Amino acid sequence: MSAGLKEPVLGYDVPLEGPNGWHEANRYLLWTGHFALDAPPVALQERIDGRTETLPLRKRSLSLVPAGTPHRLTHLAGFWRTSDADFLVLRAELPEAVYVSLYVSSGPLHHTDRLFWICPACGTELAPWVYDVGRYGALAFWERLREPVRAFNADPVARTCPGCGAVHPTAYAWDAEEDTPEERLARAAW
Amino acid sequence: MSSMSKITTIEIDDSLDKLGDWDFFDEKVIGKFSGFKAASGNVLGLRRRIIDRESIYDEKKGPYGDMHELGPGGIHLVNMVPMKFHVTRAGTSHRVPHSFGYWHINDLDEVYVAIPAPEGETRGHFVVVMQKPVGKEGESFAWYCENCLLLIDEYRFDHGRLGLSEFWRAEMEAVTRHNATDRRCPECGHVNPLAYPWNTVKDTPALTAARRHW
Repeated sequence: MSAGLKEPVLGYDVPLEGPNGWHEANRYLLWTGHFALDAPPVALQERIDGRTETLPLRKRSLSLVPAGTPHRLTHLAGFWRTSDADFLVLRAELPEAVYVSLYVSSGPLHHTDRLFWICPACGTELAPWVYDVGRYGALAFWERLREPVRAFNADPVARTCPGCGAVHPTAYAWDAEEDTPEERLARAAW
Repeated sequence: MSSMSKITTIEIDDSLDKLGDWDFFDEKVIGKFSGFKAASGNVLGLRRRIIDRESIYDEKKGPYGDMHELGPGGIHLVNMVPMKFHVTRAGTSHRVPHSFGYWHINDLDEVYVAIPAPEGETRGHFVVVMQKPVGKEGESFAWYCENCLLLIDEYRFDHGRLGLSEFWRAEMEAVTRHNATDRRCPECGHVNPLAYPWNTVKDTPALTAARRHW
């Protein structure tokens, strides 16, 4: 975008049927995506009281992850995230596809996003990566997270739980199109 | 209460503060959001409307037509169709004809989306999300001359200070006070129509006529 000339003066329109991707819309960061009906299900998971809870898949749902709650989406985010901004997940199953839309409720109170992994055996947090949203913006977190994901995958020490010794499975980033073969297998698995 | 039951079994009379993880489309829940309700750092409005792939129909107000947004070039028509996010940017005067009879100016963005009805049903989901105002953030109810677009009246609601619970009272007060004023435009002399609130329940015959007009 050059010199903001294409910046809309008024509102923003984002079709749900467009290519999967992120869209900056002033304080909100929106992600729109759609998947084949038989694709691995994108389910919202949260860490509540030290346990991983998977929200039930419904044909229609709107869920809100309050700021501070660790969360991830199965087969879409091969990592856990916490944020000081709310995160909303809208799921709609229509005859041709499953539509998943995400809202990152950003703004001046959104300072930090954290990415990390959780030992599948004992729940210990692994390899946290803290992102300065206030400095770099909310969108850049999602664009840059492949770097810590690849670093995690390449470091056996980071993937090995210091508490119980279990080795975390391969992680994957957000955009499936850039997955390595190993990451693609991981995305299909968890 | 187990962790799982916090997610799947929601007592709708629980304080909303305790409920971050519910499914807002659950039929036991969605009615609580037919106006607007705060949920964590956001405010949600959830409506069941007749929605197919091309149009949105409000059973009380009729077809949900173009939203009007006011910019440097005048009134911009926003085609509100299903399967599209529309974000009305903070500070943009906007209104939906026949739905609320004032221009709304919010200090915060408003995000709209309409999802068509599930197969075999007629009513889909219309979702409005905005951030919860804090501090000095708020919104205005405003009126521009329908002939020349001169700003003729504006009432400010200190949402961040007063809270969402005061919104509808403030809206009705603004409408009532505006309707008691001389609505003649000081610039072009046009006599502007009555204002009316979002909710149709309190419509008088005069307000119903105004709702039909604009």
